[in-house]
Amino acid sequence: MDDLKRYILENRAGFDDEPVPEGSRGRFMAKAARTERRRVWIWAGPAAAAVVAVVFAVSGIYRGKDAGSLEKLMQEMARSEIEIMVLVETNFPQDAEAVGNTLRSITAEAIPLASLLPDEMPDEERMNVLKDYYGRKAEALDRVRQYYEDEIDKL
Amino acid sequence: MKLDADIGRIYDAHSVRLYNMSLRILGDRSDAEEVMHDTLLKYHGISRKDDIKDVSKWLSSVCIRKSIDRLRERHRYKNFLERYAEQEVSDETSSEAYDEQLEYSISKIKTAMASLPDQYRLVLTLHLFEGYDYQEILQITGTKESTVRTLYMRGRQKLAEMIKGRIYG
Repeated sequence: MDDLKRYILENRAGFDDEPVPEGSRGRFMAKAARTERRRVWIWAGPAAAAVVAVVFAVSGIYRGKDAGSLEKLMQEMARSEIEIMVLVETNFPQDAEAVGNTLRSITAEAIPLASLLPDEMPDEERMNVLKDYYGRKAEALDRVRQYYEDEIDKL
Repeated sequence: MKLDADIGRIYDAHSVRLYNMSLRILGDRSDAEEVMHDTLLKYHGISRKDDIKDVSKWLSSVCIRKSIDRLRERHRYKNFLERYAEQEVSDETSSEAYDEQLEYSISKIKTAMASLPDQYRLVLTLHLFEGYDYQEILQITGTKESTVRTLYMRGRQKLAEMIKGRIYG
């Protein structure tokens, strides 16, 4: 073993004495909390979406032959919402809260539209209304996603 | 809150060591802090922590890999180690300095290490400070053994010159 290596080994502690930057622990704890929230999103999001979709499909709110494609659209929206949050939390954590609010304003429904449509509405027309309504929401999510993907390209 | 207590304990136990490790490789405090944070978060995110026999060693390994990834990002090309090793040996380094009896001090070594180019600093850190041999270093860096040897020898010469005060930066 050469002299330098021996010297470093014998004085190892002296080489590890740079203090971490001021405020590092607080920044770390904030990151940990964000990561934890994201983990909950990832875990709970698809489950919640699946529940919504299943309830939506089997509750009789919509009984048409195209229910599967609408259910798929709802699931894609839920997945897209989660992916956008992960994208933003990872790359633009300062925007996370605002984006979270934006996404909620796009997707939230106090009363599902399907339950407000008249029972006598023909299935085909009902499907068109719902597809148009949720399709617009999906487009809005895509626009948010596109904006942040473009921002990442600029980094 | 349990989350805070757990993650705080991990941070307190390992942050300084990992920060210093990453700082030696990256030479940048901000980058080193981020790597240290990411390393600890990766550990925290693992569901089966009992599978890790030596936590300290596992964290070191992750920290080194993340530091190398950060170096690669910084250089914006993949095989930066090879490219650097292919360069001609600079006139400012002489082989005799390597073998001379030098007077070491922690501050001299730290200053000289911080002044080394990234590629030399990486290989010297892995070998001198973390105790990896050439075989292990080439596995970690994904490069050739000859490259690792070349970088080590040249880096070692430069370091010796700097410790002697012959060259700076």
